Amino acid sequence: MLHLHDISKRFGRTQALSGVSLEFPAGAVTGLIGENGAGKSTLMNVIAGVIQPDSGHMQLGDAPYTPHHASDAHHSGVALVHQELNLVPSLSVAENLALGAFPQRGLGPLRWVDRRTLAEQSDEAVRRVGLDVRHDTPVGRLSPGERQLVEIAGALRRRPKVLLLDEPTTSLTGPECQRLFGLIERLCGEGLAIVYISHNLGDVAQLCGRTYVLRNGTLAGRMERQGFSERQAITLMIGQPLEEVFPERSGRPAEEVVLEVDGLRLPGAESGASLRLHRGEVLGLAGLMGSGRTELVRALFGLDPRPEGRVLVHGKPLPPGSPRAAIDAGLALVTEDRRRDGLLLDGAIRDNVALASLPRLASSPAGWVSPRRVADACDPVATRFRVDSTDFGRQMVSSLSGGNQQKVILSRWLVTEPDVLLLDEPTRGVDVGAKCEIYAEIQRLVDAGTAVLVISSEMEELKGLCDRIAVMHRGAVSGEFRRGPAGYDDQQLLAAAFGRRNEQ
Amino acid sequence: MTRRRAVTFRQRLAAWTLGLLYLAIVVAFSIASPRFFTLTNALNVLTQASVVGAAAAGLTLVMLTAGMDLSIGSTMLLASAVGGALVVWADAPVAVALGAMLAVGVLVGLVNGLLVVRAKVSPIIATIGVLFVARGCGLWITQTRALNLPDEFRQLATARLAGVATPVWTLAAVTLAGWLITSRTAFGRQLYAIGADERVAERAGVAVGRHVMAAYALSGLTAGVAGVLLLAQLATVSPGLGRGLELEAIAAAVLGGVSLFGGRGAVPGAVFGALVIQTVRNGLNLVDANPFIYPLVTGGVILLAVALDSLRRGSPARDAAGP
Amino acid sequence: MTDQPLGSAASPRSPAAWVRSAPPVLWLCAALAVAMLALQPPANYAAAAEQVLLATTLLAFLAIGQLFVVVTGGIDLSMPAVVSLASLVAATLSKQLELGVAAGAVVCLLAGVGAGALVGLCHGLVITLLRAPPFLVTLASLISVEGIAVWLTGGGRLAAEEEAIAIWYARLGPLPVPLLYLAALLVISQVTLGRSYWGRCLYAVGQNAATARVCGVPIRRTTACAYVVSGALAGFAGVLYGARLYSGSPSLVELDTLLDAIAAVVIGGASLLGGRGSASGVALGALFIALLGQSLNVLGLRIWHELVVKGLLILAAAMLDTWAIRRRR
Repeated sequence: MLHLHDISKRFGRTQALSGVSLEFPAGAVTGLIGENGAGKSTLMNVIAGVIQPDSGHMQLGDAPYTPHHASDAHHSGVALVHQELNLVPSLSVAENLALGAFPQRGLGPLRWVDRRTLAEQSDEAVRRVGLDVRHDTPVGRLSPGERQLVEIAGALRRRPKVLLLDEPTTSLTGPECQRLFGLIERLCGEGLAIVYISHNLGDVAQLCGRTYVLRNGTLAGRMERQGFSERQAITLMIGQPLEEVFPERSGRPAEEVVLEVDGLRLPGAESGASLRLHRGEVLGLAGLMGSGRTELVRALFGLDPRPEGRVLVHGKPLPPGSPRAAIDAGLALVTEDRRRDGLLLDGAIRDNVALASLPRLASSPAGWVSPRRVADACDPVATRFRVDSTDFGRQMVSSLSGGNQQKVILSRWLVTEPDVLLLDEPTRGVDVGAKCEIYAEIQRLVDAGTAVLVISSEMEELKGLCDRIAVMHRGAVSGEFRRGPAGYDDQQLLAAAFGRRNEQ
Repeated sequence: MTRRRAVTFRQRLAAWTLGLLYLAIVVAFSIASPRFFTLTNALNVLTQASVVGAAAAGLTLVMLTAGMDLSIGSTMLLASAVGGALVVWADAPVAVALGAMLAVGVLVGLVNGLLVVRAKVSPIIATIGVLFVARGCGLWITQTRALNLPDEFRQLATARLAGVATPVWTLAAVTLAGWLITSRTAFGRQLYAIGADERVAERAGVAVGRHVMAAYALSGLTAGVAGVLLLAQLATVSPGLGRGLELEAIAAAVLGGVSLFGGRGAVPGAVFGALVIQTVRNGLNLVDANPFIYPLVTGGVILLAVALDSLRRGSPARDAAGP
Repeated sequence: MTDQPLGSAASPRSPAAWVRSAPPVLWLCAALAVAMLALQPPANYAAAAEQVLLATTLLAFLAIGQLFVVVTGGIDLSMPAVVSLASLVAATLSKQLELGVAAGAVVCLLAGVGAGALVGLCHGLVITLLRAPPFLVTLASLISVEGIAVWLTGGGRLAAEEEAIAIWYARLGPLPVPLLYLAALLVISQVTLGRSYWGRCLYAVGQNAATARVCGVPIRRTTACAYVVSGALAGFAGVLYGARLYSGSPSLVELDTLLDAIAAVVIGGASLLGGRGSASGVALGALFIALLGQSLNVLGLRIWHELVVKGLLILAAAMLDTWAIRRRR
């Protein structure tokens, strides 16, 4: 149905796609996997007409397909369901579904929304995905799973020939996932070409007839359903066997408890979470999206309120609501979303690195900050981390690649010389090279006695890095697993993530 | 689940608060002055509120897109200068002058829209720049002299239809049109989406640029209408005409529940906001309050609107510094 | 401006880099100055320069005060009202307390600056605690503080203790004293913004408040202080305006002066979206606006020319800005 020939796209200094050729047949689910930054989203955007490729061409059916705008893709019958939801919470379900093309009637130039047709269309579209909500419900009142289905209903409304699904299951519960898979298979039977993009290799194995693997903007391989193995998929995704990516752990964690979280209850959660982190230990925090991992870390760092529970650093209680106090106590937090709350994108690299250490670098009491002192403290760290820049004082962070931006954030926290490093999705959107450097740095820090807590949605990352993995479910820790001689047991981890108590 | 309901409840509370507050104001002034709660006075208040109300109606469309229009007052001056010059110096018929005034409004609005959409200048700066230019052009035309208009023009404000003065009818028409546009047309509904999340709207295939442009043009149009209403009441084009009225219109819109951050609010609300402010002024006047405290009360009412808006937003914003 | 990281007043730069980084519109400033000089007999130079610089001083206090707030991504619309209030408080106190010239002068200054700082503190508290939009809070304040000022005085002027308040607008030999304030203001604000912990926090808050919070920047305190400084500088400007007239008045400056201050900030290379701008740039912006005002007479320009040119320049500055940002991305 949809053929891509030799697609290439370049952004500034990064080659996002180079010479990718794929084909997506009608009536089949085709998987597309790859690490973050491998070029999946660029490819999606090219297909959806949001981005124009520098070279290469596409073919839809027998006709050439050259979308210049998102609406071209709509008209040609290519629909895209984005990973982040594209819904306006304050508008109703029906209005969201019809957003780009309201049914209208009227006289001449005077046109108004045909509300009856709007409601009918909405009801029909929602029924098609097996959802039962009224057309006038504001989308803001739906659950994440319901919103995902509304989103798919919106994509299907235009009767597409090709449907692209980008990580559709990240916010869904188990039953919701199975419902979605049923829907996908039904649509497939109706002759749609479905492109399924996911991190969840289990889902891909279950659904997809053929799976393409992207790596660093190129096609790294292709796997059929019969020959699909997760191990091989991972090797194709990262370009080397998994064992070589993660450094060998040399030391053992000490007995000394550096960070203790005691009954920290998140708003809306029924019970509190408790954790202990030891000197020289890497603790992984796993769980489904929405299980409260990020919220827990933000609350313990003082970014979000924590109505109940204690946090002890080196046995001393940490006051709530003050990131400054957390930093002074030796905590450091690399947040989940670099652009939202990780970087000053329009600031210089050096200013970004210095930001968390400024009170220490300032000569008290006047608070004057000497530029030389800042440079002396920050530049060596950024240099050691091989942040790719010739001028830390001038070059803006926004001009760096994702991997280098992440290194800037890590450099910032290393300058504060933390005892506890909290990492929330530290390798999201980072290329494999930078990933390995980040892993090596974690290893170096741990060997020097720093305690590290890693949140990651990539199970392989947690399994490769951590001495211990705690699994969260609905704001509480539902299981804790120590690395055995054979690593971790996937079944147990998964069971804990879905809230089943473990017997270990 | 519970949190979602809580916000809804607070939103409802906030929406009701202004209505209840208005009721309290009306009751208080009715007790204080026998002349307050009369049909004549009600029509008076509406006439006085018509200028800012009309301007606020168009401004609402711009604010829905998370934009801002600070050029309203200057647009009114420029439109009045053009209209006045046509009538006084060119002996043009009043109808032609009115048409020209509205056209000037739309034109200024389109310039704002172009700057915001094409040149990607932030709305506040773009409209401040246009504020200066429009005011300058207006003074250029009048040479900073006051232009006295013939009586025909004044009759525009005093003429009555079914016992109600034309400004009130105009305000009603503008409000109705604004309400229909925002609640019943695809364009209006899409404005909400643009204000809530421009990228979402874009991906859904909404012609964001064209819509934003149209919103600014409509805001310019209502500024032109407001200019006509003001000029008809004053019958003089003075150099200071319209100065600061944009701030009053913003205050009215925000008081009426239009968010500065876009995506929330409605045209009738904004007009109601203008009505509340004008009612307070009118009431103070009738109870012979010291005229110098009017601004104090207006300022207090805006602060109240700020507090209401902060209540409406509910969930704590992560960053303390707004835009 | 184009290839500099934002808010990097602190990084040491060569003179050549400084010239390149100057807001481009300011080259027009030089052109206008030259044009003015060319059209005047040399005998007038000193007087003309003095006039321009005095106008610059008054505007610079408002514009740089505005800059502290604008850098955090906020805005302070209350300035005209604060100027009036400060002049009134200074005038009243100097008259009523009868402290003599020296002490009276000090009281004038403290009262004016204090009144401004107090209003600023109120803004800061409401904005940070209620998470209210600065635009609205300071707008409400503009309207109500002006109301208070008019209410207190009945709309008229209040005479000050002439000798006491006049000290602040006196001459030292050939040199008008306010020029010294301008110099001091420039040095202090440039250093504070570029080289102090608080200054760096201001830029961080303006660039990305969420990031700044994660990095331990005290957002509320930083932001509130910006409004206090803005209010205090406007208060000082109020004392200067008052000293010029030996009195306080509820209508010393108009809304146009506020717009002039905002224009100076924008033309001077600061971004109303926050995170960028330098005191030197804004001072140059103020100089430009002052020059434009003075050139009215000299070049035979009229008020409408001034308004149109000012408006077009603001738009040009803003467009250059977005263009530069787009090119960088």
